[in-house]
Amino acid sequence: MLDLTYHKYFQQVIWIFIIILFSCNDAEYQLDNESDPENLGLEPPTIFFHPSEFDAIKVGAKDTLDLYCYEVSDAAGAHLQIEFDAGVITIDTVLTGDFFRNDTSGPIMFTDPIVFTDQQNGTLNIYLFYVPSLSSVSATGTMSMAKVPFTVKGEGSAPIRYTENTVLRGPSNNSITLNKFGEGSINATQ
Amino acid sequence: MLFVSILTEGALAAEKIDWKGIEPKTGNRLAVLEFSSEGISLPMQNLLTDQFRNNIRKLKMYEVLDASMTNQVEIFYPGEDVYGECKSEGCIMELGKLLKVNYVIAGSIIEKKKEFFVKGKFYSIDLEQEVHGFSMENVSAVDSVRLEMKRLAYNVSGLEAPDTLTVDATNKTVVYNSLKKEEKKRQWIKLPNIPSKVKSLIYSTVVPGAGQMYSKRTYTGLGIFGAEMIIGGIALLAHSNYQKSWGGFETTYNNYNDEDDPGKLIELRPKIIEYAKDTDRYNTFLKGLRIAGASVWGLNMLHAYIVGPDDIFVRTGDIGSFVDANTKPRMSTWDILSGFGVRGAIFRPLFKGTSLSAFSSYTDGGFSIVTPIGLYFGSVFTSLTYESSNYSFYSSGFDKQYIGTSNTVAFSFDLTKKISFGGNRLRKYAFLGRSSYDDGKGYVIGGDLVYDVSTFPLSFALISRANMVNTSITGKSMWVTLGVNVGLDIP
Repeated sequence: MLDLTYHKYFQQVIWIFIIILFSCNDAEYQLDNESDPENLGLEPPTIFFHPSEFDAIKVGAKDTLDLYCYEVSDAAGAHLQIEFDAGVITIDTVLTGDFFRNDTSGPIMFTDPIVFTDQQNGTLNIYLFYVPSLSSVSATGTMSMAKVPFTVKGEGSAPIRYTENTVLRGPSNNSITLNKFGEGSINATQ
Repeated sequence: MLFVSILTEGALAAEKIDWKGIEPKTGNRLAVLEFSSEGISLPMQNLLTDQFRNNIRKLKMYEVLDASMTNQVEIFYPGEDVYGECKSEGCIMELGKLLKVNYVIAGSIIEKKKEFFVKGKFYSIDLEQEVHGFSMENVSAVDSVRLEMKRLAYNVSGLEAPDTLTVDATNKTVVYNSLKKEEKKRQWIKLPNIPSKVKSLIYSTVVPGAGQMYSKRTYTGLGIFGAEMIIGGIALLAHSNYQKSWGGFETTYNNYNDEDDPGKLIELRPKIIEYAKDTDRYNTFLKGLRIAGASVWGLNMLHAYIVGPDDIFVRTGDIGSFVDANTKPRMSTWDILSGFGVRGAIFRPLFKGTSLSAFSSYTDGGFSIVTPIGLYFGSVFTSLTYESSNYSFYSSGFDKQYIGTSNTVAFSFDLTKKISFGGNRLRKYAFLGRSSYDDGKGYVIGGDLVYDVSTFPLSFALISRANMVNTSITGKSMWVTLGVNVGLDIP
């Protein structure tokens, strides 16, 4: 028992001396995650695509494009107009993201085209509306507004971009000023 | 049986007394020093010395000092084989003078192979020389030793010992025998014969303060050990906080690297920065503590060597106060260092100027060196002080920071005599200095309330500083800190 106590105290003393003699590592880090909006060269508030690049995606493969807002405040609704190369991809559908979701329900969403059969013009319109609740009437933050699953139709490199008709509005129908939008690209291969 | 055998064992001792009767001339005060011993227990050594002392006293030829009075003065004399013993003639003369006696008897009792050898010397302090030597050899029983020492008392007093001389057998004799058996079991490690100063240094190198304790500076040793323990305790605390921050940093950083959701990445980013800042801060603090700990350790080693047995000093009945045995004071290295002090502090800004209002303040560390160099302005002693302290202010998002180290040369005004509050144990200082910051210069004013820990060279203080700065980042600004420090002063 005495030996155990002795060893306990001896260990404590040794620890104290070790800590005194040797300091610890400094925290070294690099915040270089490619998905980090701060690494995309964007200035908030704005909107962007995630991921911004689809490299060497095979023809016939399916994937999902997220439409993100970046540090947007008090948004109650949005019209997102996207241009894409209809020769390279086809939009399968559009799903709601978490941004316009209130405590209990998701957003109200319309799309144009309503049915994704004819996408010859390569334009997708998404209308999103925040459903006000007793506790909140708008959304704030960096989150996905909508998810766009697509299928690679043909080979080639094609950009995806938000058009200048894209707009976010606040609860008083005020337009929210956004900085330069982020762009995306799809590089499809056989 | 043992008791009876001791009583019956009356082997004749071959006694040899080298004695030349010299009567006391100037006075008859006599001090009988504790006999040093080898092979016998401490109680037996005390018993024999006491009986010898009492026997001389009973003969009324000398005014014999009590054991308590004799032992009240403990002298530490250079050149002794065992530091603290007083065997050399020089030491005995010094001790005799301190005890204000005319004569001193010092001797030794040695047991070898169940036979006892007693040797002693009779010194005249007035003549500053040894006047008699006495010895007896081959006494083969404890009670025979007592009898022979009783006979010695007669001889020392210049009287004829009667033939009917006897000693009372006491249970102390039995105790002695049992103690002797126990003592035989103990096998202490014997250190090589190295100089006491080096021994003191080695002890303090291994355990801070141990050398001081060996050199009879018990309180100083305890103070140094306590200071190291305090530094170690704070280091443990800081290390615990560091581990928390490091754990948070590692987890968050790993999550950041593995995460794909930009929304979550945006949330993780400031947390990583915050954890990294915290770990760096604790690490810096630990580095500071390492320097402080190593400095105290180094000073402790230096101190142990300096105070290692070399100079005579005398400890009287008042434990803790030391009086130089020499009438002429000697200037030692320690005397030169005396008055210097080192202090480690932690503090936190309480108030900030407007240019720093958007920043949050944090607890930082620093140290100061107090010097005895200064001037008296009336009763106020003003000493020169150097202070180095870190400062750190971060914006709420950790994206902006104002950090650095200030170096201050200051005058410390001792106002203890002017301000009666708290008495002399609570020293009051005003502080005024010129500071150099990483990106500018400024002035520091402040005050210290220093509490001295009894006879320890350790002090605790509450300190406040107002930093008035003019730097390239803040412009003209200021902040006021409140903190505590632990100080080690060289007595």
